[in-house]
Amino acid sequence: MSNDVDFEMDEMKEIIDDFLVEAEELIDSLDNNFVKLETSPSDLDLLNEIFRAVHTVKGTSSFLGFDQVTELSHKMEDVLNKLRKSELAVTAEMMDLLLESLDILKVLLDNVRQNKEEVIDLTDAIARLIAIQEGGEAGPASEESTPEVSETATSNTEPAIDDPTDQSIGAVSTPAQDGGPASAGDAPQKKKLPKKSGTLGKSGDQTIRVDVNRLDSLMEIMGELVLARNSLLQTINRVSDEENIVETREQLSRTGASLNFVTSELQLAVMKMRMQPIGKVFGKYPRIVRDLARDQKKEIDLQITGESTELDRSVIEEIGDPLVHLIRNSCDHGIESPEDRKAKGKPAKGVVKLSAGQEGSNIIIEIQDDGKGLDVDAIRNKAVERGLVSETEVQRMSEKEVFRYIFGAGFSTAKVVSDVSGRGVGMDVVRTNIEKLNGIIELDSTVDVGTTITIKLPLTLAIMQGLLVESDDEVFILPLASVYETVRTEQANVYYVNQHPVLRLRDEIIPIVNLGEVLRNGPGGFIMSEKPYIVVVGLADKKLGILIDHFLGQEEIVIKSLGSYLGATEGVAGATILGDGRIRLIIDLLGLFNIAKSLS
Amino acid sequence: MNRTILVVDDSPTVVKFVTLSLKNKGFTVVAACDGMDALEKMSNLSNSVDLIITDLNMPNLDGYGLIEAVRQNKQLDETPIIILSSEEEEEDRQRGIEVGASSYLVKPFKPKLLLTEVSKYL
Repeated sequence: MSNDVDFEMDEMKEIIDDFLVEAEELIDSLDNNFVKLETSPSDLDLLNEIFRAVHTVKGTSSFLGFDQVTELSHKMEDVLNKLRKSELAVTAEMMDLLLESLDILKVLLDNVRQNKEEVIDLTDAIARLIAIQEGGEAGPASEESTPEVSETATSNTEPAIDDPTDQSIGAVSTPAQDGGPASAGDAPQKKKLPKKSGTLGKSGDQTIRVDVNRLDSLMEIMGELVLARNSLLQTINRVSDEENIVETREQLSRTGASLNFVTSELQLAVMKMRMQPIGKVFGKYPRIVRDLARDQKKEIDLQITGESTELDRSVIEEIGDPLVHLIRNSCDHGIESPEDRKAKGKPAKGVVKLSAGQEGSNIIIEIQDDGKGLDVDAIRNKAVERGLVSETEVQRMSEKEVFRYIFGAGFSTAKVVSDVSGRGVGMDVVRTNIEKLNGIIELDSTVDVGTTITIKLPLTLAIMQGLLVESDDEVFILPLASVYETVRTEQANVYYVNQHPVLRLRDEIIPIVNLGEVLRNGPGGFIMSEKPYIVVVGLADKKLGILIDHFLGQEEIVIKSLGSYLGATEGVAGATILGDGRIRLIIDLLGLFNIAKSLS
Repeated sequence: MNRTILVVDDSPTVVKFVTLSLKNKGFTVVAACDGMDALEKMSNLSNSVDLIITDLNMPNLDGYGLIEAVRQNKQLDETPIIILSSEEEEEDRQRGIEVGASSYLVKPFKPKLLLTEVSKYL
């Protein structure tokens, strides 16, 4: 570091922190821009933007004396400069090398962040960047320059597709952080990406950037709230004045209406401040898909829509990793090789569509691929083999019901466990994450047409639409977002399987519990009226029917925690105060599902 | 009296670094993120800018463009301009001086060197 500066220590730290934030933003943008560049290599504006970003990283790092960052970005800049001047043409190998270098930069910056005085061996990466810059092909050039480097490094330039296990071993044994041949690119890359998103989540500390317009509208609403309060106070003063009682009543109802309006506006405005576009998460995926496609010699087009859909910050932080997993699955298990696709009469290039959108107070995220689809029979067999269900039962189940098994722990039908998805992180982890967010996940698949996974999430975790129901003279609230439907059925539609009641609803069989019985944990028994009311709720991949006495209506509720004394009550998510001032319990569906499971 | 220096760079880190070095020496510093921003800041400032320190490679309006614009402005054309760039090539330096820069410093540089350069003009 430039030591002769008369900066205070904390000034220096501040500068370095700023540098890290800046560099991280630039590198995130580079990840995607490199991928874009590969598809549109003649876009000069894009190229200039990329060049400038690398240039800035080089300039700033040199300033602060992070020599390795400077050295590497300098060599990247040289290559980009030649591209910019059309002295070189974009090739896939070049992009591999640039992306790989970018990954090393990430490691270097991570080291800076963690104050690690570690030197990473850059010789290989730099030699290859120089070679490519001098007009050589990456392949031959690297052979020339890396005879002494370990096997993993060379296998990287010519990805060893036919031997995935070898690669995954490489991934474990050459973590770039250890300062080994960091340039054994592909391996550290894969190890690092998920880790990176993890650290991001944590480092995205307790501050949030809010659009000034949103603050302004909040102020405006506050102004209206003050007006409504004044009017209310004035009316209260006049209540004792019996002569004008009619007029007072009228004014009171007007004020009430305006208060109602203003508070909902206020609620929305405050909620919006916590909202962030989901594009923040989506932005990382083009790179992941690109690398996977390269690795597996597939052609995959990732189409993203609805990036501007906004979600609560806490939800955004939780959804990133499950989505990565689902997208990897689509690319790895879904999309076939170009040859297979052509043989099936499909275009060689597979399509993975990722979309987000709002539907009422829910966010719908969809991951759709046009790959080979799920093999229902394979899942049926596997489920029977694992003793999850009997042969006759499984044959009676609908396809959708069968698909739900893939969300079970350790359930994989993939014959070849590949390096990408078969890493012990299964769909059950995805399910657990979605459950935590009170979301619903559904899967639909048709052989050789593709698979669609739909995730439904609540907009926010703090406020929700509640369904008020009565059971044993007590009022409870169910999260409306999780309610599939409410039915008034006939006793004849309720069957008993091993003495457990189930509801037959169209072609589905749904287990039922009696809300009062479950919560009291006692032997209330399962008593039904002639025409019982049942709420069908869903959680992640499962459905459950809840028997209640009456429906009372719906209301928007604010969730309050029960505090440390009662907080851990299973089946209860919290409480809320309703309009009539009474405290009501909110049902925690995850807990309810667990209790229901323990009953059976 | 307080001298005002305009620092133009699209990297917040560089801006901060330069700003701190100068502020520690008692200068007033105004920062801009590119050439356009710099011109706007100058037209909005009540007091005049005594020195400009600028990067070359920036979006919207680059350093060369900024210097040309400043030199063509009757009120500003006497303002000394120091280029602070990571372009090391001689042709960049020459072009910079041609369009009207007073000095050319290559990043990375020692803050002392920058301060010496600044003291030549202020």
